[in-house]
Parts: sequence; C-alpha cells; structure tokens
Amino acid sequence: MTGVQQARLVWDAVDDPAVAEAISLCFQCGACTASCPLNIFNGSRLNPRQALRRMQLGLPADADPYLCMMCAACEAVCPRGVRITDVMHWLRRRLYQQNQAPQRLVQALWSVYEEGNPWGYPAKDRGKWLLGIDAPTLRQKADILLYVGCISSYDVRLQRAARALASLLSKAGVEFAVLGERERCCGDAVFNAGEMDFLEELIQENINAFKEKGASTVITISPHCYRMMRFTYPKYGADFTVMHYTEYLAQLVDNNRLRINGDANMSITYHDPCYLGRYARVYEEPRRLLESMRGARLEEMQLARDLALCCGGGGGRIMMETKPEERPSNMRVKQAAETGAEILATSCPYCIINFEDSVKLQRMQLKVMDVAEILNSMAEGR
Amino acid sequence: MSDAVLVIGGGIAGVQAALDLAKAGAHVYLVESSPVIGGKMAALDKNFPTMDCSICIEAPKLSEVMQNKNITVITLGEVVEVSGEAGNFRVKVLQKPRFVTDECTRCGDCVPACPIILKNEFDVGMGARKAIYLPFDQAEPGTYVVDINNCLNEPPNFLPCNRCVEACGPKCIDFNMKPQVHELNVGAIIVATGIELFDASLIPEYSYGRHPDILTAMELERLLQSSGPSRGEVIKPSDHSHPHRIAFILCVGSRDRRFYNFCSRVCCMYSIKQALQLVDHGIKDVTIFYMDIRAYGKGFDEMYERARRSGVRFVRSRPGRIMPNGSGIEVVYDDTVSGELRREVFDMVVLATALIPPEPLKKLASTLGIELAEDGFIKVREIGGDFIATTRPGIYACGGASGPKDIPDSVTEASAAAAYALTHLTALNPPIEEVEEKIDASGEPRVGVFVCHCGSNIAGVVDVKEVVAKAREMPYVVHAEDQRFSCSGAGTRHIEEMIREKRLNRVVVASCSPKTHGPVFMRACARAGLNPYLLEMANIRNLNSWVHKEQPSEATAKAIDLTAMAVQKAIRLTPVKKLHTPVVQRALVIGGGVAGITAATALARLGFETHLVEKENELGGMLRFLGEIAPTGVDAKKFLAEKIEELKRAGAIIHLGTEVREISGFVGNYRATLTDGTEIDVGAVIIATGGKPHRPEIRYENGKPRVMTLIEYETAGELDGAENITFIGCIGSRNQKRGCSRYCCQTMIYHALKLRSEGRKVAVVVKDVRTYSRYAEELYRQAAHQGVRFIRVDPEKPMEEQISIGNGGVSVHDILAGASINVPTDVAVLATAIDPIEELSAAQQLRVSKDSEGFFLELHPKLGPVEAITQGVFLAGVAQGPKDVRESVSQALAAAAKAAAILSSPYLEKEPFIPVIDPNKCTKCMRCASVCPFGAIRGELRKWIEVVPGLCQGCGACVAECNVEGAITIPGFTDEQIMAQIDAALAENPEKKVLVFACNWCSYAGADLAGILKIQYPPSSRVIRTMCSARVSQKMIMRAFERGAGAVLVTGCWPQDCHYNYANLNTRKRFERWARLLEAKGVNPQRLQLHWISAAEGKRFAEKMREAHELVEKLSVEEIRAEASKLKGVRAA
Repeated sequence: MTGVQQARLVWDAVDDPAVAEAISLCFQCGACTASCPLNIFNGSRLNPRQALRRMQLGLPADADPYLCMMCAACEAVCPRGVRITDVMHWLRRRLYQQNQAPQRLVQALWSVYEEGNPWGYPAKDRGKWLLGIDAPTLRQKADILLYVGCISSYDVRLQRAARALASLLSKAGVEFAVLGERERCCGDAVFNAGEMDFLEELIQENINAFKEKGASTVITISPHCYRMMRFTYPKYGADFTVMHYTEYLAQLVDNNRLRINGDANMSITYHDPCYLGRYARVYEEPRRLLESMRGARLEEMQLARDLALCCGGGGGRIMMETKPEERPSNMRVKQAAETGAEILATSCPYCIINFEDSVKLQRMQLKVMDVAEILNSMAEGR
Repeated sequence: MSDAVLVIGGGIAGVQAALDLAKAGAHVYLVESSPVIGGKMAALDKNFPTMDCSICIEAPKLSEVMQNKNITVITLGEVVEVSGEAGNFRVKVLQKPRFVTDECTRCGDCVPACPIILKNEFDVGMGARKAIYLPFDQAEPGTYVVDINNCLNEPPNFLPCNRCVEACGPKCIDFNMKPQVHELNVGAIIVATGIELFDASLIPEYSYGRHPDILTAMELERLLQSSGPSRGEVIKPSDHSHPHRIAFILCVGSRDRRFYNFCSRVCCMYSIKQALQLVDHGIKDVTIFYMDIRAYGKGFDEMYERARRSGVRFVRSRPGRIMPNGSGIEVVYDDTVSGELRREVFDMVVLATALIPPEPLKKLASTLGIELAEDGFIKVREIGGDFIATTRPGIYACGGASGPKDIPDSVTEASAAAAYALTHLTALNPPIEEVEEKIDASGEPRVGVFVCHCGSNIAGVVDVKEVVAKAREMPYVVHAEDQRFSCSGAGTRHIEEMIREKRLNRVVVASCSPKTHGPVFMRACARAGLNPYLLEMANIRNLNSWVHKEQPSEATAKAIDLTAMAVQKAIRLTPVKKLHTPVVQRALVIGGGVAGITAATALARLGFETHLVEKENELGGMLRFLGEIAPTGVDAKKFLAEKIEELKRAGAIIHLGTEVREISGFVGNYRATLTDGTEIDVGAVIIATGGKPHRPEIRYENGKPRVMTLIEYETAGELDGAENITFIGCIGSRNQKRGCSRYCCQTMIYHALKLRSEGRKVAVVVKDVRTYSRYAEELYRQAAHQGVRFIRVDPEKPMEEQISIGNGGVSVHDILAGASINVPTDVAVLATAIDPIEELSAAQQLRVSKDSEGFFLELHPKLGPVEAITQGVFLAGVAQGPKDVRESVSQALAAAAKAAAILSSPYLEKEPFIPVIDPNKCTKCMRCASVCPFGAIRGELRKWIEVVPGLCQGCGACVAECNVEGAITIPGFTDEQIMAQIDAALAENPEKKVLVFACNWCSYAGADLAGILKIQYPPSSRVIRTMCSARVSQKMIMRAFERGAGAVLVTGCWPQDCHYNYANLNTRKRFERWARLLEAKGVNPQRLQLHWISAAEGKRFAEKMREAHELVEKLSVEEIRAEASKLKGVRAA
C-alpha cells in the first residue's frame, strides 16, 4: 500500500440523508453508466457508477452533474433502485453553493427572477400566445387551470401547440382559466441550477396564483412543469391535482366528452418524454389518444417507454449549448424514421424543439408534431 | 394412520425423496404435473463442476423410481384437495388422461403419422414435437402421451384424425381415457415442485426475443446437448453458422428490485460451465459479465480458476444495453474495474435467467394450507423445523420449492425431507422381492429364442423370419419364434407360457436394449419360475435396425450374429440369486456438533438405536460459539438448546469425551470400539466431525485497531463502544489451497448490518459478495441501504496480501474506485476460513478418502453429496466441506435418511455380480486386490484371500487383472461367456468386423442413444456389454485378434463419469500395455482403439463406428490374417 496516494474513507461527506442512502445502496454494477444516452451515443461522457463509488468512499465525485439530462434512463435499469438523479441534483446543489454552476444556468436563474422565464423574454409578453385563440370556454376563473409554461408561451412554434390544446379543451366543453401575463416559471429552471431558496419562493408564489384562480386541477403542457408540480410542489404545501394534458385529454375521450372523428390516415410514432414517462410512468394515455383517431397507425420505436432515448433537453440542457453533432435528438429522429412513420408525435415542448432542429440539420422528411396538434385537427367541435 | 408419503413434483428433488422413502419402506405417491419425471435436470447437458452428463446420471434414478414397487408415479397429476393432519392426511389427486396405455412399446410409429407439429417445450421451443410424443428420449414413464389440447381429435381443433391410432401396432392409443381422481391416505407430504425460469423478454434493454441469437442459458444448454435440437453443435439460430464471440450475462431477472431481489444461486457456475464447454467447442472468445462470482461450493472456485486459465474473459459489469445491430449484437457496458465504457459486438449473447417460483405454487400452497415467504417460495421453519418443515405440521419442502438451489443442495434437502416424513409413518415395508424358482436349470440347456418385430422398427429392416430360422439351427435352441411386440403384456405372457410348455431353461430375447427392457423380461422369467439371470438379450433394434436402415441384408446378418452371441452366452449362464446380507439395525454418529446432533436425532426418532460419539465433554461443536445465525438471525443458543433437547427426547445414546478407536466391517455390519472400551455393532456410520477455525497468518501491529476473528467477535459480543468496525472476508479462504468457506459473507453482513443499525460506521472488505443463501441477498441489500460500506479487492490475490492493518485503520486498494483507501477502524474483524480437521483414524479405517482441501470426499458431488465412497458411511456438515448451519443441518438429515434406508431393512439385497475365488487355483498374489476400487478383496500375500461381498460393487476389474486361468470369476460376465460371445461374433468374415466392448453405464447407453436418434453408421460392429470397461482383459483382446477381428474397440465412461470409483483408469493402463504388446508383435496399432463415450454421446459412438469401419475397409483380409498368425502363442494375460 505504499507509494500510492491514499485517501481516508470519509463517512459523512453527503449532508442529505436521503441522498446518502441512495449512494450507499449502489452495488456498482455499472448498468447506469452503460445506459446513459450521453455514453451510448456520444462516447464516454458521464460515469454515474464511478461518481457513486467515489461518494461511497467520501472522495470527490469527479463528475460534471450539469452534463446530466436528468432523463433517468439509468434509474430505469438500476437493479438496486438507486435514485441517481437525486444524487446528480445534490451534486448540482453543492456546485451551485460553490459558485460553480454553469454560467448559462445562472443567467437563466436571473431571467426567471426578473422576467419570470429562463429565456429572458419580457414578462409582459407572456400572454401573447392567446392572440387568435379559438377557445370559447376560456374563463377568468375556473376549477381547471391550464398552465402553459415558459417556452410554450413565447416560442412561436410551440404557441401553436398551446392554442391547439386550448381549442381541444373548448371542444370538449371544459371551462378553464389561464394565468396569462401573471404566469411565471414553474421552477424547473431554478431547480436545475441547484438553487433552492429562490425555488421555494417561486413555488409559493405559484401556489398562491393558482389558488386565486380558483383552480383545484392544474393541467400542464410541459412534462417538465408537470414533474415539478407533481413531485416537488407538495413538499411546499401544494394540494391541487396536477395532470399532464395527455392524461386529461385521455379522460375526456374515455368519457366521450371529446370526440375524435376525422380520418387520420397517417402513420405515427410516439416518443415518450423522459419527465412524463420514466418519472411519472404516463405511457398509455398519449398512445391511447393517438390510437383513438380513425386510420392512425401507431409504429413503436425499438427504444420506447422505459428505454426511450432523451431528446437532450432535460436537466436544463435545453438552455445549454450542445454541439449539433452530439445531440441525442439526432439519433432519436433517425430511430423514429426507421419505423417508417411519417409523423413523430410527442408531448413535450423541449422534445419538439430538439427534434425539429435535428430533422432540419439532417435534412429529413419526418414531421414533428405535438399530440394536441394532431388531435385538434381531428376533433369535432361542440 | 398411514405408511405412505405424498411427494409433489417429479424433478430430481422429488425423485430423490421418493427413492429414499421407498428404500426405507414407505409407500410413495409421486405426483408430477407434466407427462414425465426428471424435471429441469433432464434437460441439462452437463453438470458443474464435475462436467457429468446430466441425463446419464439422472436416468438411472428415474428408472429406479419406475421399477420400485414402493413408488406409485402419477404423472399429469394435480393435488386438488388436502384434509386431515400430520400422520393422516387425505389427499385428492386429479390425473389427466395420457390417452396412451402402458402397453406402449416406445416404438415411435405414431409420431410420423401425426400431422400436428408443435414446439417441444423440453427443447425450450427450439426443437419440434408432434401432438403425440415423448418429451425426450430417455423419458420415464416412457409411454407416449397425447397433447390433447393440440390434437385434432378433440375440440377446439375437432377434426377426427385417428392417424396415430391406425399407426399403432400394439393398439395402445385410447382416446376414451377419462380423467381420474386418486384418493390417497398419507402420513406426510413433501413439496418438491422446483423452480421456473424467468421470462427474459421482461427486460426490454436486453432485447430478448428481438434477435434469434440472444438466447437464454437453457436454450444454450439444449444446443450443447448432443441429443438436442442442433445435435450438440453450437450454432447461431439466426443463420446456423458457428459463433465466434459469445457473451454471457448473469443475474437476468435476479438481484434486481424490478423483478426478483434474491440470488438464483446457480447461474454463476452454470455459466462458467457453459463457457468452458464453448471453449471445448473451439470458441475462443467467450466473455462473462458478472457482478459477483458466487463460486461457493466444493470445487467451484477451482472451476472458476480453470475457466480463467482457459481464456474465458470475466468482466465485472452489468451491461446497460444489448442491442441487435446489422452485424451482430452490441453490448454496451461499463467495465467497473477499469472504469472504461465499452461497446462490443458479439455473435451470440446468453442470458442467465433467474430461477423463480413457479406460478402454480401459489395455488398449491393454498390447497396445502402452507405459507409462502415474501420471495414467493415456500416458507420453512428454522427452529424446530430444520429449514425443511413448512408452516403446516407434516408437510415438508425441499429443493427449488423453498428457494433456488443447485442439484446437490436439492437432493440433500430431498433426503432431509424424507427423514422428516418418515417420522409420521406408522409402518414401514422395505421392498423385498421373493420369487419361487421351480425350474431346475442345471441340466442340459434348453434355449428359447424370441425375436421381436417391434412393429416395423425391427421387422421393417431386418428379415425377422430369417433370424428365427437361423436361431433354430443354433446349439441347444429348442424353440424359436417371432413376436410382434415381445415386451407387450401379451408378448411377455406368451414367453412365460413357452417357458413352461417347452421346458425352457434359458431365454434369449432378440429385441431392444437390455438396459431399458431387461427387467421386463427378467420378471417374465421369474413369473414362469425361471431364475431371471438366465435371460440374455440381443439388441437388434437400437444397435441394429435403427442404425442400418439402408442395409437390410447386412442388418439381418448382424441380427443373426447378435442372436448367436446371446445364445452362446445364454447356454453358459448359471442361476444366481441376489445377495442378501444381514443388517445390524443400529447407527453410529461420529461428532456432536449441529450436524451430528441433527443426524442422531433423526435416526433415533425413526426408532433406530443411535450412538452419538463426541470427543469433547459437551455437545454443540462450533455452534456453541455463535450468537446468532445469519442470514435470518436465529438465536444460536436457543437453537442449540432446542436441538440438544430434541436429541435427548429422541433417545439417542450419547458418549461424551469419547472417540472411536477402531472400526471395521462393511455396509450393514460395522463394529466400532470406543476409547472407553465400549464395543458397538452398527449398520451405518455417519461422520460429522466438523472442521476447525482457521488461524489467520496476518501481520498487524498491536494496539489500534483491535483485531479479532469472526468467531472471537461472536463470543465476545461486546466492542467496548468501538465506533468504526471493519470486517475483512476470505482470510484463509479463496487462495491456492482453499476454496470459498461459504458461511462468511452472509455472517459478516449480518453483523455489519446490526452494528450499523446501532449507528456505528461499518465497512466490509470483500473479493465478491457471496450472499447466495436464501434471504442473504436481501440482507446484503438492506445492509447497503443502511449505509454499510463494501470495499472490493482483487479476487485473484489472497486477501492477506491486500490489506494492511494498523495506525487506526485498514488500508486497502478498492478496485472499483481504483483508489487506495484507509478505512478508519477501531476493531477489525477477520472472517476466517474453516479448515479441515487433521486426522480421523475411524475415517482412515473406513477407507473414507479426502478431497484436495482435506475434507472428506463424497461419493458424487452432484447426486451423492452425503454418501462416502465406502458404502454404509455417510458424511454430514463441515466434515465434507465448509457449510453454514442451515446447510449442515439439511446434510445431516439427508445422511440420516440414507442411513435409515439401510437400517430399516433386515438385510441388504444386491446384484449377484460378485466375484468368486477358486481357492485351489488362486495363488494369492493379491493383484486383484490392488485394482479393486472399493477395497472389497482382503488378504495377505500368499497366505489368505477373500472377497467381502458387502463392499463389492461388481465392476469386474479384479477378474481382468488375474492371470491365473479360472482363479477368479464373476457370475454373469465370466471369461467363458465373453469368449463365447467373441467367437460367435467373429464366426464369419471376422476380418470385416469391428468388435466393440462397451460398458453398461456409458458407452452401451451411448450406443443405445445413437439408435434412438437414428444416427446411421455401417453395420460392421458387434457389441459385447460388460458392467465396466475394466472387466475387459488381455485374454479377450488377444482372442479377438487371433480370430481375425478387423478391429477391436474398448469403450467406457469418461474417467470422471466412471460408475465404479475410477475403475476405468485400469482400462486405460491395460490398454497401453496391450497396445505395446500388439505393436511389438507387428500388429497394426490402429486396429486396437480405446474411446471414452458417454451415455449422451450417441453421435460420438456412431462416429467411432464409422471410423473403425473405414479402417477395416482399408485393410486387406490377407494382412489381417497374417497379423493374426503372429499372435499365436502370446500369453493370454
């Protein structure tokens, strides 16, 4: 043992007991590292197994947690059930405290603070997506609140999907409210940076805003907002029901409130967004919605559901620069095209952005659409 | 009140339990849900670590079950109702109809007639079968079965077909069979329902089912099996080409919280075994992906080492993705030792799927009123139940039913369950067969020859009428005829009538194999009043018509030769009787640890006078020093107190502070003298002398940390408020000399978890974590969850070289972090090996050998783990190898059951093939004694000599060694008989013939299998069967060459498979001598060959026959005659 630099085993290097427990549980099989999309498609980038080992021994983790897309592909295959994303987030928290968070995420944080969204769009423009909307059941206050989310509020492409959803709700006769200009970031961008104090403040504000609208059910467009509200908000006292729009629409179709009548005659493949699939296990509803369209043919990709490949947008990566050739979405759209489907459907704004970029970059024919958009064209008005 | 036991499940555990019970005199109902018995073991190709052919060692047990009068086999059966209580259960068993009667002759003519092609479940769907079928060739019962759900004669396919009915010669297909309900009264129930295999397609990231070259281990096992779907060729199912790069993935479905948390116990070893087999098949690039190699059993670590040396690559990693791509199958993995992420393309990927509880177990458990544990297997009681008793009195579980287990552990538990079940019975009726022999065979032989058509199986190729005509001309033949099915009820009754009517005193049946059908015709002889050993068979089906289909005239000539050989032997047969030796119905148990106590208790409970001898002044052995028993934390003190109480209640006679000074005798009759002068006569001996804790040779500075062994820690029980505790495994184990000590990982982890729960900081230093026992993997998970740190060192170097203790810590290089770590430590606890005891004179006197590590050697690592090589001596507990308490207890019970089987009968019966010495001719040179593998010949050079029938197993090695004409003979296989067979075989055209000696157990069975598989080969061979190849002597070889045989082949079991304790090593030695002799005389050395051919190697048998034929064809008749004449005057021995 001489001549080798020797570290002393440190027991209490991790201050969060839940995270410490997660680390300890790992038996070092390496399935996580070998299922991480960063590694499978881009060569070795992130070794969660090695990081966990070093943390078990109280050594520095030697891993960049900000590379992680929080897609939880590793957790889906972990035989010990280690919450690896919790560990990654803990590492982010620590780096943030040490002022070592990536500049882009810190900047996003300030944008949320100042304008209510991580992209730095003016807060006053947040309601612009409502222009030209066809939603007669939109109310000032309602039991149902449609939470649009930052990117869908501002991005011209994604506004279309948001309006399609609003229209679908109206077609089903659902009275709903929106926050409009008063809507602020759900907190995902803050959480991703590793900042926790401002996160709490933001969540409290949002909870109050929902209450003022009289909402008992919040419907989100983005799975990222959905995960935040479903799993993090309750820790801060939220008691409303959160549903992803695909869950809610599936209910409407099941209850025959929403009628899908048009003839689709198209082949579709569905991509499971990580935050909706692996985190919340919402796999069936989007598929059921697509299959409810007459003439629609659903083709599954080989890597679907638990194995779905992340588009690259999770964990705040959407804000950060990834070299065009290294984007997991490039691979994903190819996988989608391999099924022979004409349309790649998904239900996450980040996925749509990334997939459309990759389709353009690779000069492909594939059409990328939101489930709500597809459905709206086939749904019958009241 | 009942004398019967119900055994549920006909796999190896159920079969073993049934045999033990039946031998001890219980009546057994063996209920099996499938059409045949044998279970998963029958489907395996080879067993680890011995590389035994699986079916070869299982098949004799299966036929023993079928032939045992005390066992009633109910196949296609389901237990539907159980009422009553221990000692008096009433059970209803529903038996589905088979639609084929027991008259079935296994001719197989129905199969080609059936139009329905289905996947054969036995080949895990890789082979095909028909709707009428036999799952595998050696299946028992061998009656065909109709898969009614897929048959055209029944709904839902209803379309009256009846093609099989028309094809069936003996008319034994009966579609009117109805389900039957058996109402049984039994005293005890044993559940041996085994395991099921995990469905690998549930793990999407491994892509099973998406590419044909991603296989389960069972599928590979079938590919490796020479009678499997690819006839033993390892080919890629996708394109039938040979794979070059193969990956094995361990723990598929097990040790995975998504599916099953437990460890499946067997996968590491069978994967290593398969990897070695692949290397043998010439596949060089084999990789095993593992998390921990759990090579815990005897010889397992050695095999692991052998695999590494053979170039098998071991990668510590659980792959994250297995994805078919255009050129093969890509495996993405993180090599956890080098820390590199790799993606490699393999030609074939093998998934070691978990052993899981069968789905129907839930329903059965509720029918039986027993509980299942969280893992889905049957819950067993630890205190007062010895890990065998279920939650309902009178019902016991063994084998896979109470958690995944390998074959030896399953058969051990099966015997243990039998020992318990026997205690509930009121009466025992050991099987005794009495036949009245009315026919005097001493006069001139009167031979009757019966030539069987076997439908068209024989008659379709061989001119049966011609064989009968020629038989009539053979010496002493007074009657010859042909029969459609000799073995059918009508056929055997006719033989009986003919024996009486024609006053036959010798019977020759020319039909199929004596191995399968010998007993049928022997019983027919016995019923007619003729000594059954006056029967001889000519195997004109398996060895002839089935394998020479295209050469009917040659096959007819061969059939005539085979019949003539049988007649020549028959006229030289003498009536013999099975031997009966009296049994002293008392038992001796040496060693009063937990194994000895358990064994003695079980035997005393069964009513046998049992003497327990313990050299210390107190009972309990090593268990005295334990506090709690891992993994479940049973209170060791309470457990031991309970055990001693049970021993006393059972009434065993305890001799404390005493040892066995002298012991001699043989099975059924041993005499022991104890150190206090007491003399005891016993029928069986159990050695349970345990082991001793290893004394660590490890250097450390005194002071901090304190160092103690695990046993010292358990005894001390107090750590003086120590904060940091480090456990260190494999001290004295897993090195050049020693394998795994089995108990340590789970024990360390048990204590580590306990200390951790108290808030202390606990680390465990290991090579691999070997928590293979039931609930132990769950314990490991819990310990990790609670924060116990596991440090992993290089598995290839002794632990002692990898740690340094001192300066308040334990320093060690962790291979996973790739970093040297100093673990702050106040107390270091060393998990030391269990070493064998030095010497036991009683064992030496009993000729019980030791293994390479110094523990006592078992008869067979798979199927005879508790028997010593000396009959009537059994091994229990650590004496046979390191074990934990649970394993020791079940082995002790098993030893007791085996001993009980001997003791319960007033006398022992054995085959009469025991050599007889002619005192007038014998020179007492003791050569025969020197080759006896059982020490059954005793004496002093030139003074006296005797055969001890109790020790003799009948291989005949002694007779072949003797060079004094007629000094020693062995009934049934005398020189005279075999020489007459040689002469008959070579009477015509000897130069064109290949004379083959085949041993009964392997090579003859291999020849039979070639027939079953219809592997065609030239008809030049003539086979002479002996019990062991060691029976073949120089005299026979020389005679064959003198007579002008074209070639002579001696064939036998592979040395490790020998049924007579390596007797066939004599064959090898002698063969070398014969070869030298022939060469010296100028005989072409190629004309004499020695081949090892196992019972599974039908293909190899056929190949060797073909090669020998080609050789003979190349030689000219003149050459052979010239060489024959050179041999004149060579000494026969």
